[in-house]
Amino acid sequence: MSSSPNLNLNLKAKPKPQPLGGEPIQILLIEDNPGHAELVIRTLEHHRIANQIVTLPDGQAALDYLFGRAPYDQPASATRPHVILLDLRLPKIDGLEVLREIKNDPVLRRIPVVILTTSKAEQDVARAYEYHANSYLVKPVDFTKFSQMMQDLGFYWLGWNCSPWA
Amino acid sequence: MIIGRIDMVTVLCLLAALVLVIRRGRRELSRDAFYPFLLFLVFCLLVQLSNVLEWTQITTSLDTLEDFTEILLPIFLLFFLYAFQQNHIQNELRQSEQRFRSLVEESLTGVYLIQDDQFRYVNPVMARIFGYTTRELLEERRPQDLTRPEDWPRVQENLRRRLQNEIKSLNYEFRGLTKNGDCIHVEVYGTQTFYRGRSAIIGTLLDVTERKRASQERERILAELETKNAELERFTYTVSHDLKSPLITIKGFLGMLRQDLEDNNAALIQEDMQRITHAAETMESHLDELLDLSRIGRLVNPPECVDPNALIAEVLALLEGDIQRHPVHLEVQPDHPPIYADRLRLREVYQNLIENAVKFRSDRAAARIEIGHRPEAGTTVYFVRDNGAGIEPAYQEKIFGLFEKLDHDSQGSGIGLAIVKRIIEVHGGRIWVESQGAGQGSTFCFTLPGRPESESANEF
Repeated sequence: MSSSPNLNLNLKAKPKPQPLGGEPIQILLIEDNPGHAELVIRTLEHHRIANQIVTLPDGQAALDYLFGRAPYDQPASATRPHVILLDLRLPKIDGLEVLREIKNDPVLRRIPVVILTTSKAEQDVARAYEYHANSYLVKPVDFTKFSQMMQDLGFYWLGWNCSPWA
Repeated sequence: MIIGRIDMVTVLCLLAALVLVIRRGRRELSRDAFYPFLLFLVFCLLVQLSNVLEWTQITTSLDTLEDFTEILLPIFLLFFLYAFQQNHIQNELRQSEQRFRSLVEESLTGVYLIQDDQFRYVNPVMARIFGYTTRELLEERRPQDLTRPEDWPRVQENLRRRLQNEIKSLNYEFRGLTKNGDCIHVEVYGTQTFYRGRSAIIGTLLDVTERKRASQERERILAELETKNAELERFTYTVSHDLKSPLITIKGFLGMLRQDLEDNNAALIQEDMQRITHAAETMESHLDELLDLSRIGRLVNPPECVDPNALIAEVLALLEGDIQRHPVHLEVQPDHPPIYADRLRLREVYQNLIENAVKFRSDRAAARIEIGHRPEAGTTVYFVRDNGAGIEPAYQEKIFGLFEKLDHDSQGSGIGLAIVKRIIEVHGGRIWVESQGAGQGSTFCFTLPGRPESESANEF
């Protein structure tokens, strides 16, 4: 069951918020539903928000990528997203577990993690914040709201917010 | 004349005493005391009367007699009062004895007295609880004969501790054995006492079999309720997540379509419509599967004794096409011990497990599937083993969850194992997977409880 890493690099869109050092602004999107992933990427692109979106389909892949483990051996600096968009219900390793591991790591814990999920369940919200999630967003069913949320999210975390790597 | 009056008073007093003795003495005095009293009083009365009536012809001898009675009378009355009192106490004692005896004999609980590993006394209820007569218990049975062998060491130790006065009284439960071999649950409360001058145990015993059964039943129902509740919670969670998810996709890509139309991007229009169709289909199948799953909660068919060998053959016949399409080497161990279950549900279990084994067959080595059984800890473990994809230890719990898939791209919706798990759990069994990790193959094992003992024997 060793699936090849599903790494989507979208480098085409021109970003509105300009990074200081000229390095690309990276968003790490951990989402198992390919439809949702595409929706997020396309709305972000539409609002010209990120210039690099990495999409990973499950919790295991996300941790391997962030911790620079096989099959994602690459320099640590290349795997330092400015913001992580994390779904909760993920195959293999659950989103909350991914969050816990990120926040347990002395370096990775600096990255803002935005939970982006369909679940409004109280225990999910509570546990996400317990594990130090930086934000918790519920995907709106309505597309206009969805699109607005992506735009606000991009402007806030990548525009207004100071990146931990700056 | 004055003397005559005093004598009259004495006579009246004596008459009153006589009435008192006759009225109350017969009841409250023993026969040995009653008649001497009576005689003596009559005698005194006669003496006094003779004095009053002045039967002069016998005066001389009566004078001495009168003096004699006058001295004796107070002593006698004192003695009389004392005897009266004593008798009263004895009567009280006898009545209380009687009260307690009937209390013990007619008691709702068993009462026993044990000394030298023998029953010295048992009440009828005690005998009835164990199905014996009191005589049988007193003459033929020892405490050990009324105790389940597994519990005897504990009971023996408890008897010893009380006999040797290590502990004053003790309250505990154990399993007893009736005359016809049934197991009953009893609760005893025993205290050290003395019987014929030596240490003994006196106690009461209660048949708590029904209470025990009721409390076990209550616990079972509570546990069932808890699982039901947890299931319901999971169900709502899943519904809210997994059914909302395709809705987001559908509405999202409808929005995308609008943009595509504005941009006049034909290729994207096609792609986005595809996404919408796919999401709608996902939703439809999720709904169907949720209905399937909710039906399992109720066992439709009453459990029966199923021959797994025939059942497996049936399933293999059903999956023949599927199996033949893939190069799979199939091995079925003979002589599966019978399973007590809902036959159709059990078939579903085997069907799902075998289908999974075919689906995740090895693509490296020659694919093998083995269906078998092995004895383990007093029960039988039934298993379906493959040398295929395998499952990392970390995911071995997760794969049984509703709509959980290890791989987003793998076929199926992630409901199969959830259904299997539910069927096994509804039957009171357990299912788990054994695998060394990815690519190492996996063995899906399950155990099911046998026919409930309460139906085969009067034990639990």
